[in-house]
Amino acid sequence: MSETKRENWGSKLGLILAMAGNAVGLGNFWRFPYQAAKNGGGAFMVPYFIALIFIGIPLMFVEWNLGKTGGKYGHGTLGPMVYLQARDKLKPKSALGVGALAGGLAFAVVILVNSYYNQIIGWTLGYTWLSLTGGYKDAAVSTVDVFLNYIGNPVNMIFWVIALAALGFAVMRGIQKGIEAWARVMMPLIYVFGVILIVKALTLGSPVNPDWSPIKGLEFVWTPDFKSLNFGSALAATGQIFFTLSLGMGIISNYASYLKADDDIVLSGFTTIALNEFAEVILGGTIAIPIAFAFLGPDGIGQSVGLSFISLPNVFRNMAGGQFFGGFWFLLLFFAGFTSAIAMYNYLVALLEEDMGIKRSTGALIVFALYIIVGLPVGIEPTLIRGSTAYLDAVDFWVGNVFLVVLGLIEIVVTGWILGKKGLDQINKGSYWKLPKWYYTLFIQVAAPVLIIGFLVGYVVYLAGGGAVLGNSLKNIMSASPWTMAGQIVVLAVLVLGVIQTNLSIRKKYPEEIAKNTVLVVKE
Amino acid sequence: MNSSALIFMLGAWILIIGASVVGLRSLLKHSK
Repeated sequence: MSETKRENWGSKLGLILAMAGNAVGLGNFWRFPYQAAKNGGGAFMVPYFIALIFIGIPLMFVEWNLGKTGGKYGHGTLGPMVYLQARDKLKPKSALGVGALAGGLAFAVVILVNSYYNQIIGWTLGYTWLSLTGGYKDAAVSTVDVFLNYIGNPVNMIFWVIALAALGFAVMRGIQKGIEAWARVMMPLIYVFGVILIVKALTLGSPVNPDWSPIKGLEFVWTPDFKSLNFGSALAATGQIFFTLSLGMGIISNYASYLKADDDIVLSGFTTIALNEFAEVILGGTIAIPIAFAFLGPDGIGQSVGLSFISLPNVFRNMAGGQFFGGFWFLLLFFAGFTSAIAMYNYLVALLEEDMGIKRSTGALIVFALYIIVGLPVGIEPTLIRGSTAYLDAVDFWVGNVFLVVLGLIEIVVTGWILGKKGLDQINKGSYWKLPKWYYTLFIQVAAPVLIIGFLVGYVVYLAGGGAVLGNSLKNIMSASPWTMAGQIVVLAVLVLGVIQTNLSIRKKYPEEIAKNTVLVVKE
Repeated sequence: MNSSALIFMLGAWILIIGASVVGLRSLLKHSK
């Protein structure tokens, strides 16, 4: 096995800001508000917190541990990390299969999520520009048309390319000088911009209708309306926890692989979650909905993607200082998306570095080219068919919803059930706070895997019964639209490619022990 | 704002702010 000197994080604060940046993304500010609004406000928050406590927090510890253990062996990608955890009990040959599947899923997620995630980051950058230059200020053009014109104009893809180039530049500089340095600047700014926008949101008064105020908007979000609570909203809440904490993607483990062997996991993982929830529940929940409610009333807050890109520009164009606050809002979205996309970008650069011996700077250029190629269908489709996002919807349905949860299940089953109690020792080694044995048994070995299995079964049954999650029903996902079919073929092809690549990678790293089917390489 | 919404919101906010402060303070203490 080749020995390479791995870079480490420069400081604990830098690590936490980078990890929080990894978790805090578009999901916190763009996805969470409309998820909460569409799924019954306060009623959505109940399953949301249940999923956070019983799935999100345990899985976060598991992913940190997979990464720290894998990093000790020089691995920054998920396949070999899962292989290491599974090989004692399953024996190397069977562990190879589990590792290849996990690595393949992570490979598909970091490539395909970015086919649309980076596009949306490009939109936020473009809309920052539009806000500051008064690009949607003309009341004669509806903000729906502004948005459709924006995504329908190929020239605006320049913002996507600029965002990708900035990501590539940051990753090229490495862990400390690149990722950590950018997180140290962007993360504090996200919180500062968020607080400024909250103050503005809560002091808007009732500019349109005396019954519409920001406080009424907050009341909507936080009143537990249990009549609106159904299985679909519980599924949406659980999916949101995966998405917001960047779980089931391999990228938390990738960042954790740059920890030192005796670094803390429990306190750091806990703080990452707390900072993410601060950004999501407090900042994300107190900006978009109260603002939209004050100007547009209860009917204006239920839109999906449109809440950020259609409803809020409609508000900013009518608000005193709207150009300025609109600029803040979209720049906040850009920073949040950027600090997560950088983690996915780094995952692929680490894969090229570790599996193919390609140096970081060249790897960053290769990933740049790859992201341009996989992002093209998402960018081109609405320029050919006005407003159409069938390809994006198909990719998001499988990768953004299903793959994350399946990968999360594999990780927690491998740690909790296959590695067993040894996992508790690994997590606690070097940690400032120690997980008690009862917590490990109850949460990591029982609650989280059982709930995730329940989620997956429920998801299939719910969809088969005609239900829709995030507006996606089985019928429209299985439609014969050429863009939908193309999206699904690409998803399958990338997954298969990922499994094959990971299989070869693990075989190359552990040839002897797989041939003998006995564990030979052990680092304490 | 009705009282159940206010209690739910403030309860969640206090827990999250508390967890963030405790987490960050403990980490900074250990990094000295």
